Amino acid sequence: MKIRDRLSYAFALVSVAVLIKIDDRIIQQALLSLGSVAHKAWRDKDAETLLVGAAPVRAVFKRFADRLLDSAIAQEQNGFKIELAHRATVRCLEQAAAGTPQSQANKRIC
Amino acid sequence: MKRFRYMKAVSVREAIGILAAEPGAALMAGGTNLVDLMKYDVSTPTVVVDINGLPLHDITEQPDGGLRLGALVSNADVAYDPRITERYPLLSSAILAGASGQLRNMATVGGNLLQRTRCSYFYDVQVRCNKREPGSGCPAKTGLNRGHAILGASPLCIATHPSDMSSLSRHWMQPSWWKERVAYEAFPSPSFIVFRERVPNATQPLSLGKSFSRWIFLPCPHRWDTAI
Repeated sequence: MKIRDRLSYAFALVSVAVLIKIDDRIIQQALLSLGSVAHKAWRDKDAETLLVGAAPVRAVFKRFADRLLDSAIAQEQNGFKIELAHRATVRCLEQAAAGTPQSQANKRIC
Repeated sequence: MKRFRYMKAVSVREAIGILAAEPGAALMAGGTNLVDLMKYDVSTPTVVVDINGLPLHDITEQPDGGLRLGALVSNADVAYDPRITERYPLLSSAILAGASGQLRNMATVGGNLLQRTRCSYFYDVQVRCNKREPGSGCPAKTGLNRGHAILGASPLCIATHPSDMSSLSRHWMQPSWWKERVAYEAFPSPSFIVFRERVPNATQPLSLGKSFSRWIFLPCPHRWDTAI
């Protein structure tokens, strides 16, 4: 998922990449990284342990996003990115858990 | 743009040799970032070494079920390769989220990971920038910082990495560095992009000019234990 000011030819404000493996309604493994929030793609393996063994539900994803972003620090103008990254993280995990990833190539507005 | 010499490397060994011998040398693959940086005088190489003739343009099946991407495979060729779209759809999607069709045709996967930040202060040589000139200062801290870092930043630099594809460098993509000093021995680097708090101009594990990445490895998609 890539969030940006316009749909083409713009760098991300926040991007999220998720790999998730679910068996019997339990998360077996999960990898998540955030783009455009740090000097490199940001991944927190400790936070990912909150997902493993849990049910793939919104409350769990929110707790994970809380942990992922608990050390975030805003500059004067980019405080909105913390909330944006939190929401994008939850949304992207929901899409991945539902098996309905958002195509980045299809830019039609439905 | 400053004057520079242009040459073509015919082997990896030759390219590394030039990097080692000439501190002002820069490798050019697609050139989609380097040429911009040269136009703005952010990068002022004495010699531009064109590496497009090196045999690093292939996507190769690996014995473990994974794939090996040559550093010079274009972003477009990775994103539309059937083996990538079937086995690594997230990688294809991440690449297609960025830039334009024209740029993705030119830009390489190796260069994608090595591209520099688009912080506007980094690009403006009239202003201070710790990433360009260590110790000079960071106007972004008190200036236009709407797009800047919220995690892992330092008091010296709040720039972000611009690549969408690089998100996968924390999951699947395992670039291997060639290290000139250890006789061209390849070694995998889980932290391909580094950030040293006190030295924000250093962005790779080895000093610029001493390093070279030939391959990017994608582990078997069903083998989660091999993901980094």
